[in-house]
Amino acid sequence: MSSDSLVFIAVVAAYLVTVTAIGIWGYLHTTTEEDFLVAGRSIGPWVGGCVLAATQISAGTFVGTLGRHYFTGVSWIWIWFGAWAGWLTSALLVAPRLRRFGALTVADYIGQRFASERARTLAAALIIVSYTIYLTAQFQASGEIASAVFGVRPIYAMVLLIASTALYTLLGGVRSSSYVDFLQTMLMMLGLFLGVPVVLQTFGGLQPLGQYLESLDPRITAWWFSWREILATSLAFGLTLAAAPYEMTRYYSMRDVQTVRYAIGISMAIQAIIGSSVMILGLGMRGLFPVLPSADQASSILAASVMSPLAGALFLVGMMSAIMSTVNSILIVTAGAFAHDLYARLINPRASQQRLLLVNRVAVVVLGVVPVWFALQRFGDVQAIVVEQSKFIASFFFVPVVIGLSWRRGTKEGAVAAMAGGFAACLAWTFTLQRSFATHGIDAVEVGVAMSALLFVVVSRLTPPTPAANLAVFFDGVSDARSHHTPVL
Amino acid sequence: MNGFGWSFYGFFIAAAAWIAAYFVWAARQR
Repeated sequence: MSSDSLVFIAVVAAYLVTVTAIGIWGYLHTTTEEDFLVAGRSIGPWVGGCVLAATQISAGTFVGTLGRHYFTGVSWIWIWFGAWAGWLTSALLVAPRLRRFGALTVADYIGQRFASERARTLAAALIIVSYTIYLTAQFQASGEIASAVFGVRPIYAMVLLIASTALYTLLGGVRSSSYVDFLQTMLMMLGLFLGVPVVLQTFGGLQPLGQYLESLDPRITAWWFSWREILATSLAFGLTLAAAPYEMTRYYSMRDVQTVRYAIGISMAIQAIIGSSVMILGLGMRGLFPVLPSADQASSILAASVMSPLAGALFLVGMMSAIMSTVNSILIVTAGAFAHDLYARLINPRASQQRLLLVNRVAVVVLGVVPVWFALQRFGDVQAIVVEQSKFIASFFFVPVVIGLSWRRGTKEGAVAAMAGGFAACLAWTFTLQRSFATHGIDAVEVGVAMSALLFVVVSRLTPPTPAANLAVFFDGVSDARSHHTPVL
Repeated sequence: MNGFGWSFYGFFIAAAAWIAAYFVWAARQR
């Protein structure tokens, strides 16, 4: 075995031991389902900001976004403002009202706001299905990175990643995951910071790199995409992030509404740092290797061939962190949807806290293992799966969450119609007119959300209003007694 | 040959302004 391999194994082993230790620590502080799903509502703004950023930053950022900058240059960076418009919408319209409500899951919100068990069940089922698809993409990315860098079979990387992530998640739930997310955010930034000077030094600085890239193609350093294309893609990202269940669940775990606001700001600052580092690395790799066969290989080649063994190993651990931090958030949201919203409501309403904790933990394992099979079938490329599933989630959740929290008159029939209709419209557009996006510039997510909004308003107007008692916690500034933070540390 | 232009540098200025404005707003909330 070469010394480079030993360095990598040592770095990965130290990382896995640390996250497992945090998992065990979380296990010792987890005695109820509330501990497991919302960490006793104890998370502060710094850890919370890292949680929100780490959940959003995934394999898509390290592989897909870096590859996009490699191929098209600078202008893709402006897409981040679309994501931040989504976060701003969440901070203004979603987070305060959602956090005041002392729930455990996003389906809890749907059930309470619309006074409907059917809407709650539909929301939980949609969360489980769509996030299982999302997990497939994350596992596939881990397999592809491992086979590109080390030539090992993808299944080995997937098993290592899911075993480690499922272990710390099932042991300590949100409490462990939050502190692991904090560590993972630091590792992502460290990996990127180690890479940036290496590529810049090769060119003698930023300006010579820019001049070289401009000589390859002036669009790389200026505008590859038109403003219309940037706005259309930004809108899709914004709609997705304004009401993403795996992010909203984490609001419940923070101390209070103001903590959530600060955490969103810290998360945006972290995203700006990570996004601009990924851009510089993508540009640098284009300068170093102008004709790679696939843009998605840029990040793996950077770690394996450009950086020193130790720095390359830390960069790869940063990539693993990006994947694992997204996977743990998904496992928590899908396990919670199964255990809290389906099992405890439909199968065993008298379940004890110990039983619910056990079902949550078993669900983490089962819902983590199922996507491995899908990942091995390779139904599509990673970035495409990530983008498509997020469009579907926005198409059924944006309206019931963002408009549902702003408009009292929305009803349960309106919510069910909005979720089902938004999903169907997004699906129909994806398989028909999406192909001619270049001519009309209208994305499937915009069609899905527009249809969802139309159905929500029309059907709600035609059906009886939601009982005032259900709405008080969202619209009358009444805090739910369950929403308070219970210190345990 | 000028290298990077305002599509590059403009992002850093705009992002810093956006985040600073966000924190000013957040601090003024209850």
